[in-house]
Amino acid sequence: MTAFLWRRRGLGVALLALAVLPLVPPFDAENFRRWLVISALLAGWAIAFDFTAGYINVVNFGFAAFAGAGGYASALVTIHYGLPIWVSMFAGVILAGILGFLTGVLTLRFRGIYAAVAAWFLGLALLGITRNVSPITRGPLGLIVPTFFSTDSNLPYYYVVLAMMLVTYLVLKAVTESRAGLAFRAIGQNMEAARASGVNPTRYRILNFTLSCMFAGWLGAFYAHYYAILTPDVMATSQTVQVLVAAYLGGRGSLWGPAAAAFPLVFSTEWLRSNLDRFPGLDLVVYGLALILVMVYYPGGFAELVHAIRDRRLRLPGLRMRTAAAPQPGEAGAVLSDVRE
Amino acid sequence: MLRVTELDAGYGFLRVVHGISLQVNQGELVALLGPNGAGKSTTLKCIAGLVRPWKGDIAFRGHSIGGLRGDLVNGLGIGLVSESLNLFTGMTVYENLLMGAYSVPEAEKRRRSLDFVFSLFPRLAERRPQLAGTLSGGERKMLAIGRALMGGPSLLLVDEPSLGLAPKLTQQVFDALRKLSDDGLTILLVEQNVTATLEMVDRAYVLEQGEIVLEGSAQKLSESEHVKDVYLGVMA
Amino acid sequence: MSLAVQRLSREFRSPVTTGLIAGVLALAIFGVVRGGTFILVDSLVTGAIWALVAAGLALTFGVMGVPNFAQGEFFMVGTLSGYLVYTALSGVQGRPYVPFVTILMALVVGFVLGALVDLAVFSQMRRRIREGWVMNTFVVTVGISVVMINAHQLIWGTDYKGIVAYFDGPPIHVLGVSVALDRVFAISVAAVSIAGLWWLLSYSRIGRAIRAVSQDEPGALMVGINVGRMRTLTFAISSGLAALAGATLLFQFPSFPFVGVKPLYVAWTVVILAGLGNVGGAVVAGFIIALLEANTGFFIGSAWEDVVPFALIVLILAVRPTGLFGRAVRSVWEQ
Repeated sequence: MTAFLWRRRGLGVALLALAVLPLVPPFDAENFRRWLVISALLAGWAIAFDFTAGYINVVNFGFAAFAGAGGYASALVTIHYGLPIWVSMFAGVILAGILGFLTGVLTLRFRGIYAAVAAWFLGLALLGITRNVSPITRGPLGLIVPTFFSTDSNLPYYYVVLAMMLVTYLVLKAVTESRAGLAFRAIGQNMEAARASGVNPTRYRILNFTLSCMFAGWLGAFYAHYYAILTPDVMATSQTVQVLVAAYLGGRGSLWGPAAAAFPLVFSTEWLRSNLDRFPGLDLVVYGLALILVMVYYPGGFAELVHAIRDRRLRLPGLRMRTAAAPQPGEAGAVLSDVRE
Repeated sequence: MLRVTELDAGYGFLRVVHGISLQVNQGELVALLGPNGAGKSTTLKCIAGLVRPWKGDIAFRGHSIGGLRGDLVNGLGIGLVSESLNLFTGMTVYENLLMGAYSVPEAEKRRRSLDFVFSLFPRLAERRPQLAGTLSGGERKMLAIGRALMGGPSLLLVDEPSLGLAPKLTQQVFDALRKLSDDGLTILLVEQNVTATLEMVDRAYVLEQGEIVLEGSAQKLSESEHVKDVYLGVMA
Repeated sequence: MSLAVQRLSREFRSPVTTGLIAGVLALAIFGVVRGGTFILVDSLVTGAIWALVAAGLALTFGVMGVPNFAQGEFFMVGTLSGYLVYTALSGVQGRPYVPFVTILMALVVGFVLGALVDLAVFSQMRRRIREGWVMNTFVVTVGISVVMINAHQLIWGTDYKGIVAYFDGPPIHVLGVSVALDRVFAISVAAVSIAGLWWLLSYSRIGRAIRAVSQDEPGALMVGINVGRMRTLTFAISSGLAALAGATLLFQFPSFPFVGVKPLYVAWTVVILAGLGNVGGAVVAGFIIALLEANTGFFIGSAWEDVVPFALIVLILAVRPTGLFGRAVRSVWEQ
């Protein structure tokens, strides 16, 4: 038990810092607290996104649509059946989970870019449907959604979403550290080899998609009940792009990296947006440039940077060492990559 | 014509070639022999500019070409027939040959090369409008050699011409190479088929685990105890 | 020509393909009989332009292995430069050559910008990235798209920058449908460009070199092709074509930061339908998608134009993961 806690000490410190942050000046200002809420929400989504992109190596480019579907489900259940939000959120989980399951089934045969595009198209179709069935969703006008609290303060929302982010992280981390996690990585690296060594790609891919979308939908429900208005735009590709940027800047395949990247990302773009409002769009230009630079020069992202630093520090006798399994490219691959030079 | 000095090369963390030195003189037909994984192909790829050498020097006609990009190496007059042939499978035989003369600006010179290749391999002339991907193994090999010749190289590098061919076809390809050499072309050849190769070449190097263990005339190598034991033993 | 026949006969051997083609024909006939000939005419006009945008996308993927998410933004660049050039030429508007100068300038701007993007981004990545090339470049193009959209907003704002029409003559009549001169212009430009692209790739030295790079990269290097330059050229051509399409359709798509979204979606649908990297297939699929959209728009409602094709494509993909024309592009897309 102590070993378990000791291994999680970094997480504990980070959580403590995040919990205290909105009480410390200057972060106790309402707009900073709002940024913290957005950051934690994006962090949760980035974790769920990375669970697919960083492990089974499929970029779910329709991510926002599944998250948004969860939001709509939760909102509609509260509105029409008057259920408490805490309960209706699970309608969001269920709907997003079902959609994730179906996407998993449909994209089963595709790899790499084909799977990403298939998920994207499904997301776009979902967005179109949501926009068009206006008797239910009120289309582009948007749904008025009941909120969690009747207060104007962002503080309670922040603790709610922080807890949700933590649950997302712990559950998905536990899955990736179980046998399933190994299977995910095996599938992500080489589907044929994984199949040959007895891993059933079908089952694990569907499981992965379903789990990831369930958490996306759950956090989507929070989004709905936080903003109080829900339009189909929440499902748009640009939303997926935000999550993707956080996940890739943070570093794929670590879960915590994407979460960690979400906070500075939201703060810097929000700061740019509010302080340089003479230059609309500048925040996103910076955002895009950051993504390009990281992908070109340091594709491992923030997580790899931390690993690199820690590895150097841990090269002391008696401490657990991280063994870096260097990739051994096959001859053909090496020739090709050499040709690229 | 070609001088390789103390060449080191490999992939990732794996060093495949350890300090190889070899030399090919004008007009010679030289073979690089050795078992699978000895580093023969890697050496050839280094010369052709497909793999970047780690250390050492490669000089062609006195100029250092080590680490030069493959297209530039080709432009200097070094043609490569690789192990996997690297044909353009979606193009016709004719188009493949035309691509071989990509860096030859004179139409007249291209036409003469084409006539020469067709006379060397009449089979290719018959297959002219066919897609390269639909050719048989032997025809592909001929096409690859033909494509390399189209650029009018002064040095031809050939990687495992016998690979995947029936003995009879192998002999045909070997005959063609011998004929090219007799016409004055300098050729460096990589082979595993030691018996047949030693019958044809002028000189050879034997490469084992990335190092040259033997070198000399074909005659001398055929009589060497090591070659007899390791490579000819089964057949003799 | 014999090559085209060989290729066609190979592609039609599959019953699934034949079935799909029959389905498309049925859709066209149904549209014409129940809706009207305008469905066919509309599909031809928009299909030609979609084919242009999609052909570039297919080319980029086939040669460079880059699934370009920013293709729509080059369309946007085309609309923007078309608008800027056209309004700058306001003094001589009405002269018949002005629209041609406008779209040519857009082509040049798109071409140069594409070349710069390749040199600044993809050439740099090629030196560094060892694995996961396809997905990494995809994410990078997402970044490029974000930058271009917001740079537009930053510099030129979000308002619509459009023109009424390039030509103000009376419409012409085709199959009982009146077609505005601008649409005739659009389809002509698209037809000429597609024919030009086809000629370039099939018969020119440069085009053969581009195909060589897409078919066998080390092989291209071995025959003396400067592979890096061919890749830059490919990205430039593809961006140029998208920009050309944008400027040509300026009368229908006024320039604003997000004008590229719709062409991007359509181009991707087309390319997925045709099979990634299949340039010829992309042209055919461009018309199929346009036909599908026109039918959906007329019989179900224009709001569903975006939904039905996407859903259908995913279903088609589930049956045929390599696209309608089943070219095995495995080596590229399996990372």
